[in-house]
Amino acid sequence: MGERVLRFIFQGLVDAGRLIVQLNPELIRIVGVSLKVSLTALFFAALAGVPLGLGLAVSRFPGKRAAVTVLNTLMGLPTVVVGLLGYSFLSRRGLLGDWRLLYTPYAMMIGQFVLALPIVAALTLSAVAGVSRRAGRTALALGASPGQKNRLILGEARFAILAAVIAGFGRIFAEIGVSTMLGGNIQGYTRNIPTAIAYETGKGDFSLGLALGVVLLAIALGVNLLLQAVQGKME
Amino acid sequence: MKNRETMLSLTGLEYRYPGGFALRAEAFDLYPGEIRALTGPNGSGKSTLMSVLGLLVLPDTGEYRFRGRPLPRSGPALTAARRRVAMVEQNPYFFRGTVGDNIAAGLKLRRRPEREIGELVERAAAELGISSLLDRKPVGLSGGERQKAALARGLVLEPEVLLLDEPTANADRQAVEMIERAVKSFHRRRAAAVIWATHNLRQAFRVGETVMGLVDGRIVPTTIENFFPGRVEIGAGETVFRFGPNLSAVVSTGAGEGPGRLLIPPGEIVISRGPLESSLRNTFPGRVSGIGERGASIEVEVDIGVAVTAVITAVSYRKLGLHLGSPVSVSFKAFAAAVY
Repeated sequence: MGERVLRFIFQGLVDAGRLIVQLNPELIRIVGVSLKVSLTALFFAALAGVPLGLGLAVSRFPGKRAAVTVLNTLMGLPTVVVGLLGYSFLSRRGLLGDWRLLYTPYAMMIGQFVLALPIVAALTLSAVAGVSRRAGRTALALGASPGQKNRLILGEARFAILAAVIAGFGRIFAEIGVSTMLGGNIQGYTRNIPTAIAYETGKGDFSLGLALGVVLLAIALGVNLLLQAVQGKME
Repeated sequence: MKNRETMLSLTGLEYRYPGGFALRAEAFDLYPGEIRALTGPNGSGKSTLMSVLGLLVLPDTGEYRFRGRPLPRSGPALTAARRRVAMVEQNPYFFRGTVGDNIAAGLKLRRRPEREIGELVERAAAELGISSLLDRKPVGLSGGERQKAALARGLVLEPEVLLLDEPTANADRQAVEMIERAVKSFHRRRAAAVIWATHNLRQAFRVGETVMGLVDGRIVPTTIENFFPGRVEIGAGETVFRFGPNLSAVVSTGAGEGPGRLLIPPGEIVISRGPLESSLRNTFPGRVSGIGERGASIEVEVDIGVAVTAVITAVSYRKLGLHLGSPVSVSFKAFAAAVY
């Protein structure tokens, strides 16, 4: 029994390797959708999340503690809840139904943006809070304007901020709730790696599912290697 | 001095800490070209006062004027004023990058040309003897090297006001001497106003033209008793300090010949009804010109050509039978007097 399972997995890995080496067109399309959707969502999440985290870290206002608590809570937002909320807004009868975004890559991007934003913002806040007091004070003492001070603080926390962005990527690249509910798993259009793995495995094409799993792991590894390389250059 | 334009002044300052401790100053003025030492025990509010003067902390109440102009609490005018002040802290923070990058940081914020920045950084580093450290990361520096780098980062900006918050706290003796020399040289060259906060009273007297104290968050005038300007002269086998109208005291000091200041602690002075045959090297005849209480002791002021204050016990005071005009002798050891 155990031998049969091992042989099954081994055969799946051999088939997966063949699909990757042969650059299977379906595989390439699925990976392309995943990268396009997740990197776009991440770009906008970083664009909004880094300033949001910085602003929360360096500013003082009534209710700041509550705002930070809400942000930390949103880090654990279930993907299906975001998918459900997105669906309620983007479905034909929803508030934004006229935009006809449901079951498009744009709907997936919006959902993944909502998932990544709290992660990027909260981890940026944490990164900046660690250096902002002394770095900010020194920047002011050297004559920095408020804008220059914030740029210097960001520079001091850049490794941790980069890690926050990468964590955001990890959160959305492998999620399935938003992709399924807002993307609809349409072949060649919204089918990305996680939805394809679930779909192909469900219908018995274990090798394609396994190949996609290997690609998913390889991209995660590649992203981390890229992070290390960037950190090395920054040093 | 009051007719001169102030460099910076604070009126009705109050800054409250969350714990309830408050820093208060009714009026504080600093003049161009002045070098003032600020002394006080740990926790007296020195660093907070320095932060307020450096515009890093805004007081809860009070008015801050820079060269006579009131400062707003935010905006470009505040940044512009900050750029005329430099502050060196006890535990300086260094940004990522090299020592050279850090010294250049303030100049870059002012958008000075790259070439000019390079020259200024090299000059500042050379003055403090840290040229060889410019390409190193601050992480591996010793306490003294870090203090020198932080001072170079402040001096390179050529500020009109230089605030030094315990800038030699972690430095060895050689580094302390170099830092003091560099600050004095900068002060002479730039005619900047300098405030030097230190808990080391000897250093305060050494570096400050005037000394002010801070006790429990309040600025108090530091009464410098028996502090006489004069000149060190090295004669045959002994060093004397000439001060007042034809007075000279034998002193034990490593200082070379030249102008200086003599400090005789009041508790080190012996008062007698006549000259003593003793090992005390300095004895001056005089007359009691003032008597007062100082806690459980008695403060006696004697005119020996200059007013010298001594503190003696109440028993000694009664035994000597002192009163205003009494002829007495004032004596102290050569070791007891300090020369700055």
